[in-house]
Amino acid sequence: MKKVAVVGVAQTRFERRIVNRNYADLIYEVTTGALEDAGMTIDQIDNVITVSNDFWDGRTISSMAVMDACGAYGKNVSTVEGDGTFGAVYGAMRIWSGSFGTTLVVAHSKSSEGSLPLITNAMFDPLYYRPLGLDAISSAALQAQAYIDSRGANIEDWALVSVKNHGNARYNPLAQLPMDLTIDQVLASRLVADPLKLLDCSPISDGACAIILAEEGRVSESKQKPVWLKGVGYAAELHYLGDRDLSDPQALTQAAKRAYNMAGLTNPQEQIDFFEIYDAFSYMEPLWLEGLGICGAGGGGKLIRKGVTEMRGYLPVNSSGGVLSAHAVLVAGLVRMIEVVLQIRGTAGAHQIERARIGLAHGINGPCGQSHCVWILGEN
Amino acid sequence: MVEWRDKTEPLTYEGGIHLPYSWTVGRVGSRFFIELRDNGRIMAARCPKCGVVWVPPRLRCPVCFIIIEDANWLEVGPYGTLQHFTIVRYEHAAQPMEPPFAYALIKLDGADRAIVHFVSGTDLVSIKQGMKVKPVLKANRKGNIFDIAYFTPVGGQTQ
Repeated sequence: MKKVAVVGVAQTRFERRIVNRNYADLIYEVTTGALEDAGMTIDQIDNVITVSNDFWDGRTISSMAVMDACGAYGKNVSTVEGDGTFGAVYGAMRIWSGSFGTTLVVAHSKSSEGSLPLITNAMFDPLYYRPLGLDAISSAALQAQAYIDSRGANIEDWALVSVKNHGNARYNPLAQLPMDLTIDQVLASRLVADPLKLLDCSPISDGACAIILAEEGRVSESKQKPVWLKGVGYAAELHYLGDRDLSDPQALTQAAKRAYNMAGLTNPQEQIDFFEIYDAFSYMEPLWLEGLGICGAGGGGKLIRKGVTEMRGYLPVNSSGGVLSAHAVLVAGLVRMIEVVLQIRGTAGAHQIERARIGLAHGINGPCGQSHCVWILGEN
Repeated sequence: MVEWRDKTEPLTYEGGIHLPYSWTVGRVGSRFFIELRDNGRIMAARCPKCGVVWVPPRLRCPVCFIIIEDANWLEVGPYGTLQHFTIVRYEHAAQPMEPPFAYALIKLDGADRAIVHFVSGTDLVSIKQGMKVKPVLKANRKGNIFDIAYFTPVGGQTQ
């Protein structure tokens, strides 16, 4: 199988409401941005994958609204309705299959235009769960409580995650919520759905991002140092929340094993230098670290308490500020990959970490992380 | 960016989508809701291979990927154990109950997997993990999930 690298990246600044640009404008901005980053032209892009969701965009076949804006005219284009990490899987497969030499993957969402509770309510089946009014926040609250009840997690540790990630966002000019917080401020923030407080929750965000993938024979077309796709894994659990043990992210464990195996990582805790993971809610960061096998069941809180996951810690997690600091749905997972790329290039600016040779990027789909995608990226 | 773009008043257009559907409940789901409606019973289905008792019942075991025959249907509950719960303190238009209210994962006696429903008929502060609960059924049932009005602590107040 050919080696594939990320050779161009771009992301918008993430904002609560971008009112002066529609989603095609955002896609044009990141498409031209990624081409500029790579020093390539649209003619060098063999095919395009768009990432969008019809409910968030308020129209069917939402991908078609951005075709012109991502330069897909006359090209082979297809779409992923799901997190951008899965869009990158599709894009990479089109190169691994030998069908194309380069792929542009673009993702957009403007969560501010619709209604987050109503749209996320619609992810549940219409017969058993949706009529009850469940949505992204209330279902996550059930998972957070399950994490407390079954693994002894505690809200003080989650408050530390919120303090850390919003603090890290102060060094990322594209993040939406740079904040200088204390644990007490997080704990005193408004209770949204027990045990989750306002500052445990990611914001509503608008934004877009793009990456350019290239096979090894084509990476020299980019002026950037290639960042290689070393491994990927993905898996899904059952859909009904009641069918799952919400405190045990089994799909993530499976996805991680596959990604580590493909990347040839036998001791991921030692071999992975840093992590960008999908912390849509503060509790998710330690829970996903447990699922990734970086610590044992219930051990995620200790990592944050001991400062291991700080930007200057031994295993930096979400030095970009994470999803807690900017959550453009679908876009956010691909942003995790972009942040890993910037770190490995050594161009992450004020939030650059010291040792960034192998990084892990993670995305989720469905309620409470029903499916997970794990990427390992590396400098060679 | 050229100057006029930055200076143009950004307009928004207020719209919305209302789409009626008539969702097929399916044979298994229909039987589940008819049992609930006509007999007030909550049914489940046990996989003949792995033995897991699934509620709501399934035509296929989602793990073993085999058909679960009628003979493997059984009644579960009505009593159950509250596994985990949340109290929702914000409001949105798709909520059928006014906040604050509680959702819980409830494992019915005899079932291996949980269902999600409301816990009500009691003070929210008295809801605890591990407590025994029972469903409060509506008198006039229609064959949908709201035929269970909510679950309530055993010994608690009723509708």
